[in-house]
Amino acid sequence: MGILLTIAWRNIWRHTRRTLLTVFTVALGLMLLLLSIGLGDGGHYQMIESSVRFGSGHVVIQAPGYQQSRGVAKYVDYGAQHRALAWLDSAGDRFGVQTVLRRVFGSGLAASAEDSAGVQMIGIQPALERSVSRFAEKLTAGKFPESDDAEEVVIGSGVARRLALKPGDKLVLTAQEVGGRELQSILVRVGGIMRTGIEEVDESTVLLPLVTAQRFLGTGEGVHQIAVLLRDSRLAEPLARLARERLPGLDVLTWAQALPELNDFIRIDDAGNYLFNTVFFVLIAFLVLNTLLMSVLERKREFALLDALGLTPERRFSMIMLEAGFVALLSAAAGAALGLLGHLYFAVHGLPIDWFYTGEISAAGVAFDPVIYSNLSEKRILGCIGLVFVLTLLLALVPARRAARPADACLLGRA
Amino acid sequence: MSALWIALRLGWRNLWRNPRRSLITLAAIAAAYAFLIGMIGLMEGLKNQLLRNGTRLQLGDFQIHESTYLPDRNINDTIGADEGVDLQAVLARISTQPEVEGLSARVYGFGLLSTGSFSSGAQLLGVDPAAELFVTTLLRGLRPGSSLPAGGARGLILGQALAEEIHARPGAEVAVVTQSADGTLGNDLFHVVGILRTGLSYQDRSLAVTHRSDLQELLALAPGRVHEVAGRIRDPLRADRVCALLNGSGLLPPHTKAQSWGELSPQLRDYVKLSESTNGLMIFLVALFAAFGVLNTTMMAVFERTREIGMLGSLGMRPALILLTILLESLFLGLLGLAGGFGIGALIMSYLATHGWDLSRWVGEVSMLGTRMDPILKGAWSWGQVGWAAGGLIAATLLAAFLPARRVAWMQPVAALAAPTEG
Amino acid sequence: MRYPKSGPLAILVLLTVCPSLGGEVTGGSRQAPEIDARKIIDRIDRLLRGDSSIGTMEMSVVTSRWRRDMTLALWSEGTDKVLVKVLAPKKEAGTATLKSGSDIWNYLPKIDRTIRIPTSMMMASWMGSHYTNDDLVKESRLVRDYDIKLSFDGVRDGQEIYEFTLTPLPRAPVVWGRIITEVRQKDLMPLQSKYYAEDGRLKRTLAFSRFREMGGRLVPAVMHMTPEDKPGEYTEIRYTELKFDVPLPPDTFSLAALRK
Repeated sequence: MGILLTIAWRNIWRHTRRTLLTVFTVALGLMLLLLSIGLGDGGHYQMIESSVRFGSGHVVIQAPGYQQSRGVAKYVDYGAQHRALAWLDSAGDRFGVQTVLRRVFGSGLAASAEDSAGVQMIGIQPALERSVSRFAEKLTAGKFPESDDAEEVVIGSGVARRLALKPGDKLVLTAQEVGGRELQSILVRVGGIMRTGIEEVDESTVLLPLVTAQRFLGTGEGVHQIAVLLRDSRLAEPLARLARERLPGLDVLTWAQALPELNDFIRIDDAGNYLFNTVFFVLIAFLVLNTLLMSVLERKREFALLDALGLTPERRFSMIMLEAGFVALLSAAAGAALGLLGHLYFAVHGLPIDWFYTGEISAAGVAFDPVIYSNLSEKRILGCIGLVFVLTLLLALVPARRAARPADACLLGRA
Repeated sequence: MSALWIALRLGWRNLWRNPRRSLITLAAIAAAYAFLIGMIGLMEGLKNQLLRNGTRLQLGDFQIHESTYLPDRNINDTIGADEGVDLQAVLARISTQPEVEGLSARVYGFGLLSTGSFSSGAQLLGVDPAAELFVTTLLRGLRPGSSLPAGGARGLILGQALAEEIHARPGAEVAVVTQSADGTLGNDLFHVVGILRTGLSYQDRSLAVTHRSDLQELLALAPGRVHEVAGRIRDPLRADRVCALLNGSGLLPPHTKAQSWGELSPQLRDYVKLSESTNGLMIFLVALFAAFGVLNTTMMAVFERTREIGMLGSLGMRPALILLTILLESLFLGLLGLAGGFGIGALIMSYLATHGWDLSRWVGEVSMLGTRMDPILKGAWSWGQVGWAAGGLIAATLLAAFLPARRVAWMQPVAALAAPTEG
Repeated sequence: MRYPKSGPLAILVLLTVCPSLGGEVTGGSRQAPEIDARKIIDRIDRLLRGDSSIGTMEMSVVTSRWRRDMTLALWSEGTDKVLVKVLAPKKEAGTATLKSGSDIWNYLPKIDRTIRIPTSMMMASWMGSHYTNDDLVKESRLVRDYDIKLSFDGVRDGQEIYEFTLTPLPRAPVVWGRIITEVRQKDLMPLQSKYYAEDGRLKRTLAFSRFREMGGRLVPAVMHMTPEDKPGEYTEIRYTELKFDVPLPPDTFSLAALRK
């Protein structure tokens, strides 16, 4: 066996050019595969991270039935909140909980001296949200409120336009409070204006500090949503499952359930990527097979000679397989190296796709980021490398069998 | 001249001197090309689908408005201003433009829908159902068995979320209240004849469709007053051209303007461009890779024939001629491979174009950019890209032959002859 | 076009905004030289609180595209119950709006249906008039929401007037930056109110005229609202009948009453 290994190794270097070219081709294929997966996954994670940070979360906890019909009276009362928050505190480390946000939602009317418009109000904790959610990044003027009970708001750019508002201007919000007979109005000031790129948000959203919103809408200490942001979105599902057991009486949703449009978009994009990768893979396979077959067919004389020298068919088979194994190893190594280098580059610098479009594009309610960062998990990397490796070996079976065929003695006579 | 002829004949014959090798190389080229064709087809199909979904749902390939109508959409800014137009005549004139395949005149309003204690604001859209079917698939999103009855019957189709919001089901009575064009409070009773599920949350939450004449009556608009004419053309990618033609042709009523889907929805246009670019990039990468594969195979082939080539040299053939011969050989190989690949590719494409690839396993209903995605992906042909792919592969083949052949052809025949057969 | 708002509230608020519809201020008696601005306005406010009223009026709305004239009947109680019915033109007669607490309902005679208006739908104007949500949705209590100062005391256009500048208190939920009201000294009848945005731009002007006695009080029978940025447009309300403190049967402000 040891001899076969040596022979196989030397064999591949006897055909240096061919070996190198094959290795390079496969390596290139592997690299492109890794890059495509990395950027594809990266793009998706970015979309998820973006969306969950715009008024949702990796996991959200709400009052039962709130997702379907969002009545302002369906809030999570103080007691339930306390339970949920306490549990999240304890389970937090295990699931990599980054932040827990509390939010209140309501709809009503916003009026300025210029005009009035129906708006969707979100009560948020400004200090917390500023550091983790993406609303703060999208400010185009002014600033975020400072405290939970400030009387400043952040409005969408469309609201600012319709009501002719700039930071510092007056805004009167009117809504029907929970169980109230009268409509409530409060005066707030425009603290900041944001532009998310998502039309629905920009045209009708007003962000208020949480306590101000609670007072205004009459939910007391209650909130409509406890949003959990994780360090790794893949832990959302397990966290949600455990939460459902530990927090009965509350609805626990993962981002995929809270944002079905996003989920669908990712799935279809994934499908597109699978398509690409599969086709690519088949192409790689074909080319590898092609090369291997060609090489074996060229070496008929060599095999005849080896046969004459006493190398059994099984041994010849093994030799080819070993050769293929070495080539596969080299290709995998080279491909992985190139792929990882590319991935690292894109993970740090990202792939800018904004030369392709102007302005903002949104899909499934999320604005596209103009730069995509590569994101590869070990599972994916090993999977790719493994697949290519196994593929090469499998394909080598065909020519290996060819080599093991009884040799034609008359070949020996040929020059 | 005769040197070329020799090279040609020799090149061709050389191909078949080692049929197995030639066939293998040919197969590589053919496979690469076939895959590329399939891939291009699917990518193009995806892009077209996106575009079609964007335009065929409600937007249309182009729209015509009174020049003052957008962006405020004042109910009084109808085509032909306060007098309106002779709708039949106007539509007939516009249809004389050869690329126009369908036209639908529409009326828009905003109102309150109520089933008594449940009310909600809604976007009202009045269409002529027969005409609308030629332009958009909006009314095709209905559950089967439902459709808009004729004008006068005041049938109403509601977006699903809207229907749920006001607790209205088919057959239910809905009061529609709006501010009419004459300042009065337009109100009437409609009944729900269908529920629409476009898959787009914004549409489903706020769209209510009815017959155009019913909406005109509600809004106190004369029958000749409409806000928009939406149209469909044969090739959506020509929309800009067609609009330019329409605007310059005098076929449109005075003070109106035709705008393409790209002008009306820059987002959609950007997305199509993005799609084209990323598609192009992906195809390019695959083609690059395919080219490398071909390079690999072909280069090997030439290197391995060093002795054979050396023999030609020793027989007195000039290096330049040898090089030409090998190049021509590769060219023949490439062309044959392309032909084969094209054949297979075309077969794949014809299947994909008719049956498509059913992605419904992976996705349910998806919305992207305000459009709903069809889960069945159909292929589409793109001569341009297919041509480029062919060019790329031929170039790769020739390059692959050129590099080694150049070295070998100028080698001393003796050295070449001494080269081992398994290079 | 936005869905119309219920107008009767506008009328109610007009009554409030107009600082002199109340009153002990009758005919000619000049107050003491030192006038208490807040007291004047406060008195008006107080007079309307707990009041009920019945009245009829005509409303004309002129926009750049159309003109409408309507006759309306109005009932009100306190500040949170109002019922308005359209009496003319015939086409719209019977249309009624009821505000009770924070709910607003419309009755539409043509389809014989009563519908509830959601808060977020209460946009723009009722029947295309020039009244804003501020007027219609909630009632503004001038004394509560504004700091009131006398800013001019003298003769203007041949009349002796007081001019009051109303500045919103810091937390008052009003959209205006300032309201300037001119009041006739001789009978404390309002002459006009100008509404300014915070940046100082005039947004609309409310002019009062045709002062006469109705329901035992001297009131301006005509109120003319002119928006500043829409030249040629206005909404004018002319009271033809007005009675105060008339006891109203308990079911006056019920949904059933809407339909009668």
